[in-house]
Amino acid sequence: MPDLSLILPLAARNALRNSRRTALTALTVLLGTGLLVVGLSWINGIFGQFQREAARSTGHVRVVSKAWAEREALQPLYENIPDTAPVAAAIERIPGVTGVYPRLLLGAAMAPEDGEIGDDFALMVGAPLAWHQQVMGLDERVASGRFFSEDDGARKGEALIGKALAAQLGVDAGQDVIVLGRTQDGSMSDLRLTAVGVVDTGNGLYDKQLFIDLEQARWAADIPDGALELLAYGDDYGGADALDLQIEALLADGQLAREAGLPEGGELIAQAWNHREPWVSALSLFDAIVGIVVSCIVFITALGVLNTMLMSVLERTAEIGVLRAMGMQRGEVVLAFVFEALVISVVGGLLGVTLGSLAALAMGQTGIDLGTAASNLPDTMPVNRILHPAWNLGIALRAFGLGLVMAIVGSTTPAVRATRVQPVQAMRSRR
Amino acid sequence: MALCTLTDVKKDYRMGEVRVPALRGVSVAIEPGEFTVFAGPSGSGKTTLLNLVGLLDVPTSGSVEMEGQDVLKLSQAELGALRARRIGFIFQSFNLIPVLSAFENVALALRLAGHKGGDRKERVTRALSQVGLGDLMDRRPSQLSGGQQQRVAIARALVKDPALVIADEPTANLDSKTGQAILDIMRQMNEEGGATFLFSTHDDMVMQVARRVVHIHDGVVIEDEHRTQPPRSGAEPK
Repeated sequence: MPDLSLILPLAARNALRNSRRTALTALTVLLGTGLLVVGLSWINGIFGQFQREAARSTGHVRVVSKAWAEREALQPLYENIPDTAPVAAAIERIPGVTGVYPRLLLGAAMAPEDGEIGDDFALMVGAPLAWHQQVMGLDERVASGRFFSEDDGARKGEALIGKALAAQLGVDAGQDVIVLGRTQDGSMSDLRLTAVGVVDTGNGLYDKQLFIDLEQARWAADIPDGALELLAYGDDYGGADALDLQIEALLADGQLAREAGLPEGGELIAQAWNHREPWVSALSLFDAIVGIVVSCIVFITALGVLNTMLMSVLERTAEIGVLRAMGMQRGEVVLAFVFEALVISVVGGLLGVTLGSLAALAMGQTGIDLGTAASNLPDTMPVNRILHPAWNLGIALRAFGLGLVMAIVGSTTPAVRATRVQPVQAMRSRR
Repeated sequence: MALCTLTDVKKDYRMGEVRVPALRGVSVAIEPGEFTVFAGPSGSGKTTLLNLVGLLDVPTSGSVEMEGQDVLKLSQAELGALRARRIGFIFQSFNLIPVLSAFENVALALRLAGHKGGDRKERVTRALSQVGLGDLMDRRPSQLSGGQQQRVAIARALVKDPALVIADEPTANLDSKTGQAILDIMRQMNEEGGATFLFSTHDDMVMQVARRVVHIHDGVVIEDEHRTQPPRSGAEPK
């Protein structure tokens, strides 16, 4: 059993022995951990935003008819949930559920009141006022005009138009929009809506949509009490998997599907946001990118540590020989060098994590404006125009831990090399 | 029983494709309490022999016994443990650990020997006082003269009460006056403390005070000189 009370103080003293080299090693670890904090904060900020927006726009968990899910791209409106109320009520009773909202996403041709219909197509998002307000926060994103009316009757003819769509149609706040959609049986369905407000969501996907009241959308699609989706939200989108399981349990016996008026054999299914494309692929990609970035930084930093530790070992061959001659075991020699690197890395890591955190927090204040680039992303990716790094304590701790990994990886080879020093080397070192 | 017995020991070194014999069949036994010198010119094999007796190296053939135990049957770890407990080393270049104080250098030897007694501090202090460094225990090697460093090395070798002290050219890096003083300390430790000393040297000053001189030349013992006269105290350096 190695005597740590002997090895640790020796390692600490050796760490301070060559101040220039120690500073160089600490600086390497400082840069590595600092880069990790900044890099991970950016990745977390960018992908976290993707995920948050995805979970927000699609519901932490959504309930749809299985038939709808299977052919979603074709928009088979007739595969709707005819009566959402009993299902929503059942889900609302699950502890931790903060809201359940029916929603209809309807593709439609749109035109300004004096324009020609058929050139412009967009998604019409029909949902309750609470969803527009509490989930999407559209009331705080009105660029011109106003938010929906509180009065149910007045709200029916109103729409909020995304900034990009407004520009595309040439519509300003207060002007009418002509919408040509279809009902669930395939008939044409026309609407004349007043764009009471233009919303600037800062998100390329939402800015191309038209937001309307749920009842208006139900009327347009001729689904009087139903919806295409029921979006359920919990406290945090990270808990979607757990919520998904609970909702699946509710749906398992088919009773709710019958209460919702689904045809014989129809099934309701629950889907957590992160179990649906493109998020399944995006999350795998995210993990891969994090893995690659982290591995590269750890590898390069470890190489720096290896370089300086190897110099230490070569310089101290005689000394290691003496320690071995005096009876120090191989394992103790390895530990002495690894601990020495760890001591230096703790100092470098603390400084690196502190500086990296300050840098990430400072960059979080300004962010990077993608400008028009964000609006060219596919409609399935809800990307915000301005991206921010998102620092958190977990990132700082992770970077610090990885700093120690860099030290261990970088010092193991030199330490093993040190164990190859034979006791007889002590005799060979002569001035 | 002899402290250490080498029987027909041969040791070859490989230099590329060439086999260089360093010892060509040496038999020698070291008795407890000896003050013995392996003497010979550079390249004669005396340091190789010292390495084998000090369990720092293993022979190509032959046998090495330490206190009756066949050391060739021991693992590296067991050899290390045996060295830590039973053998003290004094090197030509002192080889103190530069980041440790004189006290810590000596204490390190006790720790490596597995000494867990509460009297560690007393033993280290006593060992350093015996070599005349009671006042300089907190100094690091860089703050000590060569002679003082070698005294620390002697204290380090002797603090664990070893069966054998191996000293490789201990006076080579010292001026003659300091070398003599160091030699006097070691002889005193031998006479009063009964420690067994084994030197390799070609320094006449060391050979003059030895009670036994094993002359080595070209890897063989050419003369094993046992002196009946006790070594001259305070011998004048040449």
